[in-house]
Amino acid sequence: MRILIIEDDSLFAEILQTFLEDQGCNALTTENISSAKAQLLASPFDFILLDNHLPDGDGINFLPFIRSLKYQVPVVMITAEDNQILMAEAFDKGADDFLIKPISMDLLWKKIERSRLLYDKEAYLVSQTRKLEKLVNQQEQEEHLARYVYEHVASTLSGETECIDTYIQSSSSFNGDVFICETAPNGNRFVILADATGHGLAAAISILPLVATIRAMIRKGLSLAHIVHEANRKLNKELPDDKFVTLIGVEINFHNQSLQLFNGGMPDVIALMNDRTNIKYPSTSMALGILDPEDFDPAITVLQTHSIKNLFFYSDGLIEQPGPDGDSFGMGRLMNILEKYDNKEPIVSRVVNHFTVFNEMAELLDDLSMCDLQVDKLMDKHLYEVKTESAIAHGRITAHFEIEGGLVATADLVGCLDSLMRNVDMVGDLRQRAFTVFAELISNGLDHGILDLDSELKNDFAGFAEYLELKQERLANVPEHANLGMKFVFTPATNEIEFEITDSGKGYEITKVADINDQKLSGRGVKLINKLCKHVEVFAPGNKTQVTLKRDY
Amino acid sequence: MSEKSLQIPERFDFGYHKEFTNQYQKVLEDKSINNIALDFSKVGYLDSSALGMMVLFQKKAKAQGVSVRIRGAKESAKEILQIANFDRLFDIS
Repeated sequence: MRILIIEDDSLFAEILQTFLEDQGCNALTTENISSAKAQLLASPFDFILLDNHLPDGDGINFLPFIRSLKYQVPVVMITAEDNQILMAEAFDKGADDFLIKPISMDLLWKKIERSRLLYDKEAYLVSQTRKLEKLVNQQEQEEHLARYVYEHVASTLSGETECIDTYIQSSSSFNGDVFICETAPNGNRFVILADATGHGLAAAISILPLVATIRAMIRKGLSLAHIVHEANRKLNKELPDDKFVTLIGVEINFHNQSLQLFNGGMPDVIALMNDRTNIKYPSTSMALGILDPEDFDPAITVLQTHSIKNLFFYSDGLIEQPGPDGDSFGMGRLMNILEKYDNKEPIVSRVVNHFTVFNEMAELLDDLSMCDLQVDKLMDKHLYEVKTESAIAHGRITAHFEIEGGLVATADLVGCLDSLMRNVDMVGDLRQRAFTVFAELISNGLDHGILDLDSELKNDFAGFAEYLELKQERLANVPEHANLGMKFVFTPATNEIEFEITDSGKGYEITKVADINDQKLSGRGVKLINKLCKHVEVFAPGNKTQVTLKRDY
Repeated sequence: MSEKSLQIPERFDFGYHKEFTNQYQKVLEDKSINNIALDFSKVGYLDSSALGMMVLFQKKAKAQGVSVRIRGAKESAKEILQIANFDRLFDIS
């Protein structure tokens, strides 16, 4: 420790200096205020001993100068008089402590140590506070970034939203609730609500890549089960073990009037039925990203749409928000609101109003997200969709595709046909039906014909992962002679499509396949093809199929 | 068969992360322990980071052949565990 002794009694100053140097300090002496000033300005000291009576002034009046220095240094004043008024004034002017002559060296040393300790503690506190402020600042910036990216992605995420009433009120720290509404090429409507663990950047990182993946899969015409399996696999692999995403997924199939529901770790989904009862659908699966693909079973529920009026679902931000007296909003309150619902305003408005009253404008702890899927309206709308007429009365497009060997594994044949149909401005309804049929026929030709996979495996929700794995394996070993040939003819004047597909497999017994229960996994199958097509013909030994589709059939 | 019990506090949330991790790491180091019980009798509140911590812990324990069960879970905690389908990962009593 470097100590400056400001004392005009040279004998006493020497005694102090000797004592302090014995304690291991580096002690300098100076006789008056002006030389003390020079010393302090020249180099920093860790401690100052200041006598009150100096030749060029009183020590007490030197205190303000010491306090004005660029660094903080403890000062102990030494005085001959036991004068409490003087001491009080000195404390006011900035002294840290006092000693009255004659001085006990022990006491001096204890006072020096104590003052030094207090100063060190304060310096530490100041630096910690500065660090903390810096971190808080950084955190706020990351929050802004997360929110910015989320809002720009989310704003491109809601597709068609008629009959699908969604609502998100974000909490102040971004919490990552996201809605995805898309129509698949086969006409099926998807509505998904996802909620990632954590806040801020952590939540955004978990959820944004997932959202892009899900959107792409819907556009490829994949089923809810496939999407959910793949989402789980991706999150399981890419996120740390303690991060996951809870999710509700709904796929509405207009062709067979059914609705598939997945609830992984979210609160109960509520179906408001036409007969005024309310049915709860609790979570039947773990959240995505926890289980390994082999252990994951989405346990998808299949419902018939005709008895459902609305499907209402929400994230836990709604029921877990605490009110002013600490109670959470809760399931009970929500069920009450829904039971009393009288159709006078949209369900979402009703719930939001009750919530706002309950919460009394307090801060949201978590994002508030909810969706009212107006199932009955949606089904009606699809049924009575206004049919547009095409302008041209003549013309035809014919396309032949033949894929051989390894390319069978990588070519996106269904996507190809879909683009083709869009490019000739085929009307939505016909195109969607055709997509459904082609997807099924190509899948059969590839999976069962060429790859010889068992159709039973695909129909089991839980076994889906196994099916996908086996398919990957067989695709990697597809033989050179594998062949998938297709012919596509579209005649706008009659609004008819003829489609023929031949695969190099050994064929299957059409009668066996017709028994497959249509209620299962993808709700597809021979029955559906028969229903959607005007004419279906399977040629022996079962590896060639010809279908005709007609608009308004 | 030796079972070690880990006491979980009333609020099982992110604030408890460090302590929980320290505790289970210590227990997993002791190779003579084959079964661990998470004592939930005091737990009144758990959040998603708690669920995450439990998943992480379960994976580590499973890798060592140690089984983990949840004991004494009360109403509200049990409900949260059920919504998350944690009965698939843990024996809950």
